[in-house]
Amino acid sequence: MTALLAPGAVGRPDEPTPIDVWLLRQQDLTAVERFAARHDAGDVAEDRWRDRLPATGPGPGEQYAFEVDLDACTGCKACVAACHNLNGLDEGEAWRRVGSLHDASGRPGAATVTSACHHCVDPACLKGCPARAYEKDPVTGIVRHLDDACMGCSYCTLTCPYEVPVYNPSLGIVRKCDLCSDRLAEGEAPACVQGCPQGAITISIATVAGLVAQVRGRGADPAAALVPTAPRSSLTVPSTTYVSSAPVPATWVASDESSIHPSHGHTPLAVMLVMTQAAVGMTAAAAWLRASSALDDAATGALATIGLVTGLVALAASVLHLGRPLLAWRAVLGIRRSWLSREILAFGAFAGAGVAQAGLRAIGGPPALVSAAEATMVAGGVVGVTCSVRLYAVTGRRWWRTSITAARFAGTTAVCGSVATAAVLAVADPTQARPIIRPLVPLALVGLAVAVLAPLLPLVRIGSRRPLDRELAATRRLLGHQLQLRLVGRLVAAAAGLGLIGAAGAALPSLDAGSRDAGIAFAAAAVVLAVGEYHERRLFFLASVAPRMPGSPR
Amino acid sequence: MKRLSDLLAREPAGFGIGQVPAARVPTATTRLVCGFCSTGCGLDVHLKDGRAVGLTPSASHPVNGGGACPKGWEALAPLSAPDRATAPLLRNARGKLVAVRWAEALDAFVTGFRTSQAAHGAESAAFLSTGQIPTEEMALLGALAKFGMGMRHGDGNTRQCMASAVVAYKEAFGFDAPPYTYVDFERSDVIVLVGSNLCVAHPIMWERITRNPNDPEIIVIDPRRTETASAATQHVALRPKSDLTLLYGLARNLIERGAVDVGFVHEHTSGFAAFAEFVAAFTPERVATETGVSIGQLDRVARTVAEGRAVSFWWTMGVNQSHQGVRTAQAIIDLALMTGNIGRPGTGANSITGQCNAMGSRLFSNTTSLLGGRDFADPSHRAEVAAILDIDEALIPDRPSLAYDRIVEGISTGEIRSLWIVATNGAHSWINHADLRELLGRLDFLVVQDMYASTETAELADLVLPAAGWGEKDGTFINSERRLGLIQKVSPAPGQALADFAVFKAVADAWGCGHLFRRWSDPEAVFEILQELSAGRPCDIAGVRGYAHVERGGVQWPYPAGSDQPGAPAGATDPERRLFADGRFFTPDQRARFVFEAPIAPAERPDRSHPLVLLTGRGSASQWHTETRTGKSATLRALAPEGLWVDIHPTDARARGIGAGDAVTVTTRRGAVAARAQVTTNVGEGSIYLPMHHPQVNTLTFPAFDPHSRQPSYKYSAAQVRLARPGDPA
Repeated sequence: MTALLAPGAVGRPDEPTPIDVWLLRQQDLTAVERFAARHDAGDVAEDRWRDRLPATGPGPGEQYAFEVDLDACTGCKACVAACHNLNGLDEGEAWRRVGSLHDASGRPGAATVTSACHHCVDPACLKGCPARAYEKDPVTGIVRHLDDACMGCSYCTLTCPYEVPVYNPSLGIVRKCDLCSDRLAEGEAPACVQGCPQGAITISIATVAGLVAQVRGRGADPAAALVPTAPRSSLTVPSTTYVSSAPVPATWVASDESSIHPSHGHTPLAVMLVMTQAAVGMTAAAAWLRASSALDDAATGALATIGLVTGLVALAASVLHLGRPLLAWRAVLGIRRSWLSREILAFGAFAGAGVAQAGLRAIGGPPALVSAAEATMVAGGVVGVTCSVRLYAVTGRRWWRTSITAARFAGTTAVCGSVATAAVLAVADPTQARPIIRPLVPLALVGLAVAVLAPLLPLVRIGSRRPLDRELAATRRLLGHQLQLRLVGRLVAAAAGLGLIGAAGAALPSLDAGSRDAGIAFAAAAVVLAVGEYHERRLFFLASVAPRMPGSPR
Repeated sequence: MKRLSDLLAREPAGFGIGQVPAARVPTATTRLVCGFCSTGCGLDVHLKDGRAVGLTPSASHPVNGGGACPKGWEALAPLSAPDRATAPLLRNARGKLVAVRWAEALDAFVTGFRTSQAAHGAESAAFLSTGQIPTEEMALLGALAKFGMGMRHGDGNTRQCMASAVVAYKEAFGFDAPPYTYVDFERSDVIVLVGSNLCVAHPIMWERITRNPNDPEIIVIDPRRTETASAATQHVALRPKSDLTLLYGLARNLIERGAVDVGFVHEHTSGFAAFAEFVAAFTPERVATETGVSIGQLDRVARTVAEGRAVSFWWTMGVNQSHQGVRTAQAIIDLALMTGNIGRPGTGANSITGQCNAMGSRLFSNTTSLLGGRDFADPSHRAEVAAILDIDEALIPDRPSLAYDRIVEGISTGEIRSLWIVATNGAHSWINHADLRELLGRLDFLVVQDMYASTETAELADLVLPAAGWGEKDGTFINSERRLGLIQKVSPAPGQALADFAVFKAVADAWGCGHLFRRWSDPEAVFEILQELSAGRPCDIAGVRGYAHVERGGVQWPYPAGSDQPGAPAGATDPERRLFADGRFFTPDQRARFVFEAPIAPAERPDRSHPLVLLTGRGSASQWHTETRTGKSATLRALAPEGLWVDIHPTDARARGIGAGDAVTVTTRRGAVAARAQVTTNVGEGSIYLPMHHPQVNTLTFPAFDPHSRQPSYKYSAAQVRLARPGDPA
């Protein structure tokens, strides 16, 4: 502090007033140096955590793992704050979470559960990532997210059953715990281990074969989980172990069980799913009509073009949902593991072949080549939709299991594809359209019925003694409460679409006279049904409840 | 282009800290004591070019040895909140708070108080202070208000947390002197926690228990099955506010099993015979009936205490915030005295404080007691203070202040007309505060001095003075175990915000009494004055060698002059010291007193319309009081439940058709609040629990007060819960 700044006597008018002096002094930070200088020798925090680390690193067939002592954890959440600060995370970003379990039967009993990334033996984030933005270190077993390779598709936030990777909107990528790998490399404890006042989190060495045998081996309990209510460990073989003097009773429930909130809505993906499926339906219809020579090229050409454009718009929408669209090219890198990569490649083939086919047709290219391109397009589309089904089914969520998802996607493909096809044909060439459209009507009705019922039937328990499992019960609760309005909207749109299909069906005879009434009704039905399917697909995301670690009431 | 992975790069920090984010590698570190609770953890703040860029808990600090709770880790976050008060705000003619220059604000301050005082007398102006600012600032505020501005009444929000312990200690030990040091957590073989949820409220003290090598018996006496109760070896889930009966029953049981340390009682205490006679009426059957604790369980507790080699008793707000808080605290003291569990390692009747500087307030805020734990009514005390401060003795009031609740009452009777509130948020935290908010509106003039213009209280002010916070100013705190800690300016305050110290100095100058405080030039100069004021008192810190000595965290009071000189008593400078090792107390005859009184029922009893008992308390380790600071950190916010959840027992929930997660309405005779139901056995049948951090909770609480300490009883109100209906508060 300089003498100049000392407040005191007020002198000449141009001299600072006492309050000015105080304000100047308030901004002056030099005084702190006085004690700071003495810290050069420094403290050594190491004593605190030395015994929380293994003596040596993992050997062959081993990996690092978190070990959490449930008896010692008091749920103070210092681990979360320590991780946040020592790792320089963004405001509000957290790589560790603390939840709790309690005895719901009326007996006293509770446990707090801290969890971060479980550095799984078979990591679903890595398997799902289309951009190869994950690696599992062959020596340490640490599952690392490669931030620079991430294109921000967020698919890993769906595949990881523990909801570990978290999307950072300001950066456009996901980030996650890396077990403080460079701290461990220096023999230093990870941030959460350093931060735990009770020493409840330690680092241990796990045997990979042992972890696998425990949850996937012969005689392993398929329902085994890290703690009660946690996702099935067989999904990914997590490496964390939770230890306690007495096992946590399997009947305990998560403290956030009753606070169920809608999941992320993924609007661009909902748009993309409906439009790709409609596009595949239309282009397949066009190809079939051409192959069977049922219709002239003008009408099928229009159909194929509209279908192709729909598909291209859908793919553009899906690129826009990426946090870093410029890295979209990386999406093909994960072809060997990721259903998302496969989906993208299949739809890429669909789009590419579609464009080629349209171009060849325009310049009058050789028919064999046109047919080949067309076949490729349809095959790409069908494979793409199949991949769409798989990529959600593999997340392990109950409401997304293959049978349900395949039915709802097939339903959408059938209803949107057939109604849109009918609309295009009836408008383009009404006099020829009737015999072709006639079989499309029942197909549309079946598709609509499947699309409406497939997601809802598994949520209804009639005459079954087995109660609905936790995830599906939560989905039902969401649909009945927070998402009720959207569900009603979806059903109203489906009903309106049904009515319009009926009206169009009734107007079919007028086609022969060249009337476009049926075509207009089909077009209206196509739009209304697409809106309905869009809401259905939003519900697909919003109402799906992920298996997750126990949380806290929110 | 910068790579995204670089954002998370970590580099060695040096200073023994390990790796830190590469962008925040410090060029120096310095030590601050944490500014939230009274544990007093050391935080090594990382400095880069003189400014704070991060912190780590101090590994070599005697309190925390490298640990911190989430609040400590996030201590710097509240400083950069967007709603910091950055300029004085004055309410204009249209009733709107508008930014003004400091000169105008000081004019308004002086005019506002002087006008009201001229009309209603000097004593119609009062102040409400805090346990959150450094001792130097508290002392300056208390001296300025009482010696300079003619106020007589001033109190602190410490009334809400520590008053009962203060009175209990004063009567029993002759001075407000918590006897323990945290090492006692590690040396006990029996630890009794009464009304204390250490795991959540003081996580680092719980850490000290976990370091205890004796595998101690941990007895938790608490109506709720708290995190601490869950971790205990014995949980005594008594009925709310039946603790006094239970403790007397325990005393009787201990006497019957011959667990009295007759020698100690005879040598060092007075009043035991009357106490023994008094507790004889607390038969096991009576205790079981009144507390709901079985005869067998009480017996087990008594046996554990009797067999303990070193038994320590600890209490927190469950005891202090009670209609008989003083007597309950004294019952705990009685137990320690009669069993000779005091003055030895691992023993003591130990009050765990709430706020970071509650003890600074108790000793030096010049509110209830005159500077240095003195008595305003004692002429010799007034003379001592006048001589040390070199002021006219006549400036010192000869009567103590009104307590917080009486100041509030004074507003309604017209006795108090203007009020200066510093760093506390009474419009959220005061018991039954709907009433207080209305009363604050009646004042001629209300000044609120705070870091944030957005607190519930600041929004009611006529004048808001923007204050610098922890980390933006210098000064000392005193923690629960009488340890001095230093805070330092490691970050500039935003805009025109000033350290409370500077505000008080500027007010003194504007008021025209600046000459009284010429020696009080900066916080460290005031620290020297406090040392002089403490000399010869039990809280003597005259031997401390300035801030440099305090910064490391190794100084507890007493630390009289010469403590580190040859000839000082052995252990006088040990970093972990307890009181009363020699069995001599601060009473005139150096004997501790047994104090007791018959238990009485709480004033508001459950009835047909409100059959439940509403308990309140700390919600989580990441929340602090009215959340003016912790609410500013997204990290801390994410660690606390969103919205208000009421804990209700499954039986009570079922009887009301309430399921887990349902929207419910909690009502008392004073109001209704919306919450969601957490159906849990953590509360007993007939009780419900709400965390205190939600601004509406204290519209429900019943305003009962301990008659001796005037501390509000936050933990007992008759209440009802029902499923939310249309028209209920949202």
